[in-house]
Amino acid sequence: METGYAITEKQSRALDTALSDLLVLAEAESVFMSDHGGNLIACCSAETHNDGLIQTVAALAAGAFNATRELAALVKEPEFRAIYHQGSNRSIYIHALPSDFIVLVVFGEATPVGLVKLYVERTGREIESVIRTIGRQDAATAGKQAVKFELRDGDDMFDR
Amino acid sequence: MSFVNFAKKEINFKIVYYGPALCGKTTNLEVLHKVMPDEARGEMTMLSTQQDRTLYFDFLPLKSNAIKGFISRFQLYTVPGQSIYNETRRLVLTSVDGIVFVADSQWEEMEHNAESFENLQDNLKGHRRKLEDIPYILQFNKRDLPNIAPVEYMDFMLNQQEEKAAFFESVASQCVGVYEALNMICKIVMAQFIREHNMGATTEAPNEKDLAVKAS
Repeated sequence: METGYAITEKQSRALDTALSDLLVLAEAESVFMSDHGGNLIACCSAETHNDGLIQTVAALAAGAFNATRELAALVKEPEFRAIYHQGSNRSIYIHALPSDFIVLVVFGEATPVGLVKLYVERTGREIESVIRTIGRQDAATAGKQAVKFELRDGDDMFDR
Repeated sequence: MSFVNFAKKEINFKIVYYGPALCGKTTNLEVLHKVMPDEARGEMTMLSTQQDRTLYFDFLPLKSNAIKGFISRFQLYTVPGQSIYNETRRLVLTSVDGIVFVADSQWEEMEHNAESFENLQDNLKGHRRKLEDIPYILQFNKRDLPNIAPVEYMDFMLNQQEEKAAFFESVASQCVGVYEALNMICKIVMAQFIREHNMGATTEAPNEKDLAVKAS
């Protein structure tokens, strides 16, 4: 079975810092990080987004990249490392890290894409150094946190 | 593949609704989107063709406080049922934590159900995973239609694994059995997560077999 993974508070803070630096340096509006399964790992934005929107962005970014991987295989390219969606008012640049993670940057028309590319590369290296400390570990060993997961009472998983 | 964020006290799980074309996978998510309270669900995203057939996937994020002290996030996905989109189906199974196999109860769809179930196992092999290692349940949908196979027949046809899966009868379009199926797959997924990750606390986690017996 595939193993899940977990990030500690320290790792989460390091990722948040890397993304908020990217937000400022790349003059972006929002920055997201997700894994290839569509899990949102971290995000940082100049404006407040609702929770559902952020989760959906992570899922769609992962979907787009998974599809891009297959396209790359079809044209015998090991991997396309970036996707650029150019819009009139906003654009999106998605960058795949060497590990199974993706950084997505939303930026406005005043921001040149070259600036985004430049700083995404740099942030990618910072993120990679944090990711190396995550690895594929289970929740119990993540930062040696003494956490016992426990189901709440009741049969229903969701309130209706 | 579950992901725990200790800083945000969140656990993420991915659930995929799998099954043949037009069996009701998207309807499941649409109905859940309607009946879940606003605070428990995000917006539903559908990547469809112009004919409203699923092109890539449908996506519905839900959250629950079922694990004490954490927000449990369930990302619900469907796959496209049409055979030409097999590569897409395989991609959507990336890092899946739990599967709801939706079968069409009509007699004429039995062959498609069997093909899709086999296809699910083949696509999991592409991720180097086996169905028996992943929590899954069966949902026998469209039980309101006249020309349907008996539940026992469908169970016999689709539930031949060594460990039998829980199954549910449903009429997704009327929200019958939809919530129950979701509730069960989430329970089984969380039970497996707790069993794998807890340190000396396995007695807290319900046993999958017990849950399956309770459901049937």
